[in-house]
This record gives sequence, C-alpha cells and structure tokens, in this order.
Amino acid sequence: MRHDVPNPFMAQCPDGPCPGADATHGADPIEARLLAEFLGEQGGADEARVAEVLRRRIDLDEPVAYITGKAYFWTLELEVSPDVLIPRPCSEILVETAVGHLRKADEPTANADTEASQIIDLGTGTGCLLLAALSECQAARGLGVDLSPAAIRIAARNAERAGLQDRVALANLDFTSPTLAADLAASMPLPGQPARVLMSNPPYITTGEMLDLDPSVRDHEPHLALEGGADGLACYRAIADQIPSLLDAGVLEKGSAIVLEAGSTQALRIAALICEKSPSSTVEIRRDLSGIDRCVKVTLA
Amino acid sequence: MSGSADSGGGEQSKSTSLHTVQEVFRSVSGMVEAVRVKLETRGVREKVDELAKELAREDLWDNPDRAGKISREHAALADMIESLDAFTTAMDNAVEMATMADEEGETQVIADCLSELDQIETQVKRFHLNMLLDHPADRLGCIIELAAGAGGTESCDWTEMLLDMYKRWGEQSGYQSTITDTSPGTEAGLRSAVLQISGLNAYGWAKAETGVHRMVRISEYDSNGRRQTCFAQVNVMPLMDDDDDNFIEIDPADLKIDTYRASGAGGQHVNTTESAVRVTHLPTGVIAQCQAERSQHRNKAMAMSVLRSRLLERKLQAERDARREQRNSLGDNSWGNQIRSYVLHPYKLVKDHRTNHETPQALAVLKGEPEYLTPFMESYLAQTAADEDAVQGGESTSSA
Ligand SMILES: C[S@@+](CC[C@H](N)C(=O)[O-])C[C@H]1O[C@@H](n2cnc3c(N)ncnc32)[C@H](O)[C@@H]1O
Repeated sequence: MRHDVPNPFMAQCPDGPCPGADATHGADPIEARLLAEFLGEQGGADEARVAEVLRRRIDLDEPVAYITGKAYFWTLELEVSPDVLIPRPCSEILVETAVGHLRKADEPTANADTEASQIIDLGTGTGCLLLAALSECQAARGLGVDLSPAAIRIAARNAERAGLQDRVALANLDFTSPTLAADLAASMPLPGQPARVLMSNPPYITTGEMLDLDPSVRDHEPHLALEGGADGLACYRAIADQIPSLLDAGVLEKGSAIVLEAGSTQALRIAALICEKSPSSTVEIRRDLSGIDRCVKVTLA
Repeated sequence: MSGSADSGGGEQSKSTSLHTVQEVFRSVSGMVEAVRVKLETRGVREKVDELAKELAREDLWDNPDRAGKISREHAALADMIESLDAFTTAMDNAVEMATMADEEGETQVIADCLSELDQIETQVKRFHLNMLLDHPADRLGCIIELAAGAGGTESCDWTEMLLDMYKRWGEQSGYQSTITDTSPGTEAGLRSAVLQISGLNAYGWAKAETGVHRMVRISEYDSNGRRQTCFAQVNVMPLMDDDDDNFIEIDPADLKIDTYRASGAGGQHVNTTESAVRVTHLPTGVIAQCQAERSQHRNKAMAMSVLRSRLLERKLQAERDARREQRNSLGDNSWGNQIRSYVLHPYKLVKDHRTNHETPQALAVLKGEPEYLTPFMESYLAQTAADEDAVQGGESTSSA
C-alpha cells in the first residue's frame, strides 16, 4: 500500500527541495516514489540516507536511475549504471516498429512470428530495445552489439533478468569497423539466416549541443552513448556505409527493415543517408508520443 | 406462533411444527415462483434454447472466442433454471419428509426439515440478488475513482478512509483489490485515488456506490474538537478485459495519444522519469491519463484501459438516464449527488439517502465488512430492479 508510508521525498514538496521538481511541472511524484522505494530496499529511510540521496539527486544532479540502479522500459525492469545510457520512454516506438515488422514478416496476423526470425541491435547499451522486442516475439532471437564492454556485461545481466538469455547473443563490436559484416555473421544466434530487423539508437547529439545539455545528462551519462559528431549524424553515416556489405554477407536481405531512432530534427536527413545506399527501399517515419519524428524505418528492396 | 402456549405438549406441538414447516414452505415457494416469473418475462428459457442451437452448430469452433462466450453464457443461464428446479425439488422433499415424520411422531426430523427450508430460503435470496445483476456489464470487474471534496485535509483523510473501506470490502468479498494510483494530500490523506477490483460481478455490486459520500465526525485535525462535515466523490466504472470488445468498440483513428508533460527535444537529450501518457477520444472528448506506471508502454496500456472504462460507463449511464426518464423515482446516483452519510458523532449511523437503508454499525461499514456494506448495495439494486420491473410491466402491455 503505497500511501501508507509517508514519502520523505514528497514531504519536501512543495516548499523544500524536491527531486524532479521544475518550474513548469512542480514535484515529480514518480521520482519521489522511486527514491523512497529504493531507500526502503536499502533498509529504511533514516535522515542520513534521505540527506545523501537528496545530495546526489539535487546537488550533484545525478539521474534517479543511477541512484536506484534501475530503469523501466516497455514491460521490463532493467539494471543500469553510469556505463550505459538510461533507456528513454520515446524509444519504445522503435520496439513497436520492429515488432510490427517481425509480425508482418510471414503473415499479416498477430503472433505470426512462429518461424524464428532474427533481430540485430547496434549499440545495445542496457539491451532495452532488443530485449523488449524479443519479449514480444516468442520465436525470435537477437544479437546485441556494443563498443563498450561494460555495456555488454550489463546487457547480459538484463537478458538474464528478463529470462531471455537463451534467445540473446551479445558481442563487443564496433559498428564502424570494416569487418563488421563478417563479425556479425559469425556472432548471429541463427548462423546463415539474415536478420529481419536491424535496429539501432546510435549516439546523435551534436558536439556543439554537448556543452549545453542538462547536467544530469552531460555530467553523468556516458558520452560514448550520446555524442554523434559535428552534425550528430556520424554514426548513421557509418551504419549506412555498412549496408552493402551487410547485404553481401547475408546478414540482411531484401525485405529486412532498418529501424533507427532519430534526434528531434534529424529524421529526414537520416532517411536520405540510408536511402542513398539502397535507392529502391521504402521509408516510413514514425512519431513518438510527444509528436516528434522519432523513428525511421527503411525496408530494403 | 409456536405451540409453546399450549400446555398440552405431545400431539399438539408436533402438528404445530408441521404447520410451521408448511408455512415456511409456502413463503419460500412464493419467492421461488416470483423469481421464476421474472426469468420467464426476461425470456431466459428461450435464450437458453437459442444458445443451445448455436452450440450445436458445426462451425461453432471456427471462432473459438465466440464459441467460448456462447458456451459460458449458455452454462450460466441453464444453471439458473436448474437451480430453481433444484430449489423446488428440495422443498417438496422436505415437506414430504416432514409430513411423514409428523405421522410417526419424529420431532427431530421435522426440525431438520425446517432448518433445511431455512437454508433454501437463504439460497433463494442470494439467487434473487445475483439475478439483479443481469446487465451484461454487471459481471465485469470495476475501477473505483475517489476524489476529496472541498475541505482540505479533512476531506483527504475521508477519501483515504473510503479507499480503505472499498479495498477491504473487495478482499473480503473474494475479489482482488489493487490500488493503482494515489495522489497524496498536502498534510495527510489522499487528494484522489484509484482502486481496481477484479472478479465476477464486482461492477454489478459496486456501481451502487457512485456519488458523493458524506462524513460527519469530530475532527482529528481541528484542535478545538469541533464536529466536521466533509465529502468525497466516488465514481465506479466497469473494467474490461483487454480483448473484450463486446461492450464498446473504439476506432484507433478516433484516438489521440500523447505525453502531456514532456516538452522539448526529448530523446537522448533528457533523462527524466517522465513517462505519463494521455489518451483522448476525439469524438466524445473523453480523456484518460496515467502516470502511475513506470514505463510509457505500461502507462499507455493503463490509460487505454481507463479510457475504455470511461466510455463504457458513459454508455451505461446514458442507458440508465433513458430508463430513469421513464420511471422518475429512484434518486439520481450520478456524479455529484450525495448518496450516503456516515455519522460518527454524536451517534453512529450510516444511512443511504436513496434507499433509506441504514445501520448503526458505522465502524464495521468503514472497515468494509461485507456483512454491513454489501446490504447497502443490495438495497440499491433491489430498489432499481423493482422500479425497472414496474416500468417493464407498464411497457409490455403497450409494446409487446
Ligand atoms: C544512445 S545509446 C543507446 C543505448 C540503447 N540501445 C538505448 O536505446 O537505450 C548508444 C549506444 O551505442 C554504443 N556505441 C557508440 N558508438 C559505438 C560504436 N562505434 N560501435 C558500437 N557501439 C557503439 C554506446 O556504447 C551506447 O551503448
């Protein structure tokens, strides 16, 4: 019964320091709840502990998820640490798009993923996108790739947490590497079978924006997960460049979908980059729930 | 009524017992007959035959969902008729047995028959009440929304008490009660709360609770210990299974789904826990939002479920309004009307203003004890049904 325990972080509101409070929205009861629960799990909310959490959250601007070590995405509870980006709610549109494509693969009806299909996730971080998609498709398998070994370790633990370890492979690879196609082909859980979906949420913040970011992002989340070069599109160019060799190596095939997250102003440019490598493919741009063009889906032809 | 006044003993008291058995038999038979007539007027027997025909069709299982529904409905209705027949048989047996026992002077057997009849009477009463829940939506679970009225902390405290009352009522009635959302009052209590009760007929019973609930007591928050009145608003809506589109169909094109609090670039640029979702049904303007869940996906699912409940409740309310226009008797229990008072000082009394049902066991009611709270719902249902039958009776002469 949530309401039975007075929440020390809500009690601070509206006068005292209140985690998650900002000028437009006031207190964030969700944050207060997560922090209170965290202290509860740690053995209680005594004054010293509350003060320490408030210091980390308010003075140091640490994100709630790094304080509690947990994040929530789709239906999953995931482990996070400062080695990985905290999953963003708006990325769920990538999961919807990927799952939609997997289900459409064989028959247009739901649950048609009986035939084992494969998903690749480039820059998997916590593994959130891949694990959420697999959780919806009982027969599918997936390969998650990240340049950060720490991220791979966390993704592996998250796969276990979600009970999906048997359907997930993880590899510490660089998606800009010239040997990517061969490396992926060697790591796929279903060798020799092209992936139906390749998804990625690569870093897309421009070098210029990095300095002006909210401190809770800039000072705490890994820059390897955020910075996408001068125009924010460096990783998309790298991924686009890989498409011909991915097709040649049989990692992708005609009909495979590339599902990418986009920064708020980037969707069209990203679509153009990918289509340059695959001119007759079809493009679909989907919005997140804030109305931002968030997801670029390119179906290869 | 018993033979105790007669000093004659033996013979006399035996035949008086048989007399009692016969009297009880007549009164329970009367109840059973009344129920049977109701079943007949509602065409339950015809409906059972109709469903049986459906069940016999060869292509029935081509649509397993529909087949499941039909066979469940058939079983439920057939069950009703069978139980009624079973009541009649059991009563006939009891009377026959008592008559024989009377001839042979076995007083104990007569007493047993009498208690058997008493049990049947209880069962018939329960059966009758369950029959009152005859709208297809009645069998659903429900969402109970509570909101504190004006009056600050006092009302917030009252809202929390009501939440507790319904939560316990659900649990003790064999349902599953889950608090899905609360927003705390500034000092104590709750400004608003949402309780979900799942299980068969939860909506049918709890729908009686929609309206304004008033509390009178000595305030815990007033240092002068004055008597205080405060209000809380209760709104009960049916809870549908995700795949149950029997009740209401929503065209996805009519929905606008958005995050009502997020702003700016979003994505990698911000990492707040913000995942609230709002769903707007454009044709009606009905809105449901949820921020209690941890992920956007779950908030969206919850908001959708609340939206479906709101739209269905709206539809049911419209049906009720239409019927009320015809009968014009029972007090309106729609949003905004005071339906019940809970007085704790200077005496204890809970009283329903629609049905005049009341009990001095105020604390037991507030603890959600079904023995005390459910009769409030029963009396409302019984009264609604009585009004309905009156209207139907009047109608059938003119229309059928
Ligand atoms: C924006 S995060 C996305 C994490 C996760 N997929 C999500 O959506 O929350 C980008 C991820 O890409 C990884 N990454 C960055 N450059 C990479 C590269 N060249 N090769 C492989 N992974 C890379 C980062 O370590 C980080 O985990």
